[in-house]
Amino acid sequence: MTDAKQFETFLRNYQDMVFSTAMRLVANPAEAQDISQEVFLRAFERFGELAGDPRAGGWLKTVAINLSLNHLTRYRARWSFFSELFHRGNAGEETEIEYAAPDDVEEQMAVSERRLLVEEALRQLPHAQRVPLVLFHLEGMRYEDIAVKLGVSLGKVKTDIHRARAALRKKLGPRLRNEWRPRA
Amino acid sequence: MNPELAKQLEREIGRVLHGLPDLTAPPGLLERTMTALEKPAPWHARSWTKWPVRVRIVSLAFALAAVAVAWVGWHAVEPGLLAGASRHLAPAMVGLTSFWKFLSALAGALVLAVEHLGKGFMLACLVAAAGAWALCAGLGTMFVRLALARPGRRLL
Repeated sequence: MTDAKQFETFLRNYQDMVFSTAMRLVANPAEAQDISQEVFLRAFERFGELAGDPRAGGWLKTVAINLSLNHLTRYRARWSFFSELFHRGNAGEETEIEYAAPDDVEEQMAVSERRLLVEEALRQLPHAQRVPLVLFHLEGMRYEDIAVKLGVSLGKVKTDIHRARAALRKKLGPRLRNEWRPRA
Repeated sequence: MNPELAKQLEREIGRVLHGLPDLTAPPGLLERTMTALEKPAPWHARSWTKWPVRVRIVSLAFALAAVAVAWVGWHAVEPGLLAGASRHLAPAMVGLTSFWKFLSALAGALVLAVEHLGKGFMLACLVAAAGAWALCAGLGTMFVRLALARPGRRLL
């Protein structure tokens, strides 16, 4: 198999994970796609080391997180004015998100509806709350590491995450109590 | 915040978020990444750290030379600069005074014109100006997006 073919397989294996990481941090499909592409372009430069390495997933996730955070600090403020003008009109873009189908077909509709609701609620959170929440709950980072990564105080990280949780709970309402219990 | 309630909230949200599977990447991601790999950007479109080594050395030499020229040039002109500036400043101040008088006269004329043209006309002018500004902003945004467009990315 040629390098290009091997890399294509590598990209297929990890594209969902990289895209999810970027998407949940920047909350914009087009920007998440740009970031994912950049992650894989960087991965290609080091493909000799990454191919067959079990730590490749971790490396890709770290690069995706770093590029997403860089993107948020560097470009978001600069383009926010005009971007926000068009953001409201991009509602159709947001509904394009898809999930891998669950094994149990009978529950497929209900499960994907719940996931969509959670993703939507997550995306509606303000950037200052969503980013630390995603880093804590989905990327498994500690409060201290998040504070260092975002360059803010530990207290602010804890407060923002708490507010984000409260906002999520409010948005998702009774679904949290009834539908999200772990199955026996 | 109540620590017990905060812990409960953390558990609830943690359970919800841990249940989320990966999102499906858009179908175009694979294609556009492979296309970008086949046709890499020219060196001048990449960041400086990714330029060829020789070009980096030459550009660094140019940058240092520019700093040196600026430094030497400043020290060459600096002694006579203050005297020269004071000589040149006096006529400029006269010019500024005349300009201020011109602006005052213009403002007076504008006030007179507003008083005679009426509120309706002025309101129409304001609406027209706002429309023109919005058009410029919209076109500017569109051109920026066209300029930065990448394959497979929606423009609006």
